[in-house]
Amino acid sequence: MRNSLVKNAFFALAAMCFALLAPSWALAHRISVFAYSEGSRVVTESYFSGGNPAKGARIEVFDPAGKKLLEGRTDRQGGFSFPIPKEPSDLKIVLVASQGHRGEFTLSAAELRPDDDAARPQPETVVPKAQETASYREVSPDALEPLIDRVLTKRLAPLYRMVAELKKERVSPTEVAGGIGYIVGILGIYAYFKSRGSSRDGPG
Amino acid sequence: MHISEGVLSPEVLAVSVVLGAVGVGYGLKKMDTESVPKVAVLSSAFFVASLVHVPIGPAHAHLVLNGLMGLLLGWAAFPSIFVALLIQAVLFQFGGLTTLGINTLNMALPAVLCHLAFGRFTQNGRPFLAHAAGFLAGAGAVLLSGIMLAASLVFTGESFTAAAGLVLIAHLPVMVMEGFITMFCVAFLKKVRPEVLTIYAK
Repeated sequence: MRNSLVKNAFFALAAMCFALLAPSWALAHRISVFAYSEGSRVVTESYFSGGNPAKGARIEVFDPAGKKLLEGRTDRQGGFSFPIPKEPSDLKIVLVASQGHRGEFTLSAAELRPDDDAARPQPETVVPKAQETASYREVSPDALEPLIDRVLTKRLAPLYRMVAELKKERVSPTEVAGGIGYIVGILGIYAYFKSRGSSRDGPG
Repeated sequence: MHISEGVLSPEVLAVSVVLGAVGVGYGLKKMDTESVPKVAVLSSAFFVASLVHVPIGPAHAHLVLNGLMGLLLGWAAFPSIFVALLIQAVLFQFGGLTTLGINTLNMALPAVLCHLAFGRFTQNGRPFLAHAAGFLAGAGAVLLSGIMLAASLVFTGESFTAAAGLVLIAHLPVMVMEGFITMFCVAFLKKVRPEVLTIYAK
């Protein structure tokens, strides 16, 4: 009895040491694709979690009805871009890499809207002729602010999302410890019920 | 080595779930209460090993450890690997829930096969045979898993030779590493706790 307890404790200790050391160089092993619109094109970036680009992987783009619109391959930096399709709709971008890896990203129609600022009516920040000789300080800040704000929001939104995506890729030691806890717990509960069952139909 | 969601068709997944369930069920039957801690520890080791990322040129691979699990657990490698895959899928979205069947099958069946082929040699008195058996089991299990992975991918329309070629080349370093890891573990256990290796009195 004591021998097997020592044996099991030794095992557990060895496994825990391994588990505590490994996470410092541990990387989950998933592929992800991220896409955003830039000008008149959609830019996609594919990478393995941990940041390594997924090179030469297949990209397929589908519309909401499931029809494949186009496909292509990522370049050496894991990028692949294509012109924004004429019909505005949500796009489902699927990344298929080798060895059974797959990732998806949905780009909504709203995000796809190409830069058509020229078509939109300009606010009254257009400097009238009379003010042409005025210096920069003459342009009213109230008019400038919403313009800058709008452009920045549009440009920064994909960056925020990309950061959010990248932030959740790392595997923390806490998560690893949690996973191990679950495994031990599940098997422990199973062992408990199994031993109760066998003791119930004991002698006789 | 883990197949993601959406790669294989529902029919293939359904069949693999059935086969995987059979394997897990049989493994549970063969697993007695005494060996549950061993199963849990190896399941945790497998869980962590899959996170150890080895970049090899353009491709990536990770340690599998199924050879070692086969030698130490026998058929109980099935539930052991299944539980680890389940937690990986739920906590890390690594692999997939629908692909639990096929992933369990691809990694646990080679473990069992290596146990059947090499298990008795690790219990053998001669150290050289035991070490060689350890190395072959470690490398062989990864090799078989790679072949099964390539076979699974055939159902997506990829040609078997192309898929197999890529998988095996990417996992060649892993095979060698795992061979050595398994060999060292077997050697160590034989010296320190030989009763761990005598799982089933065949």
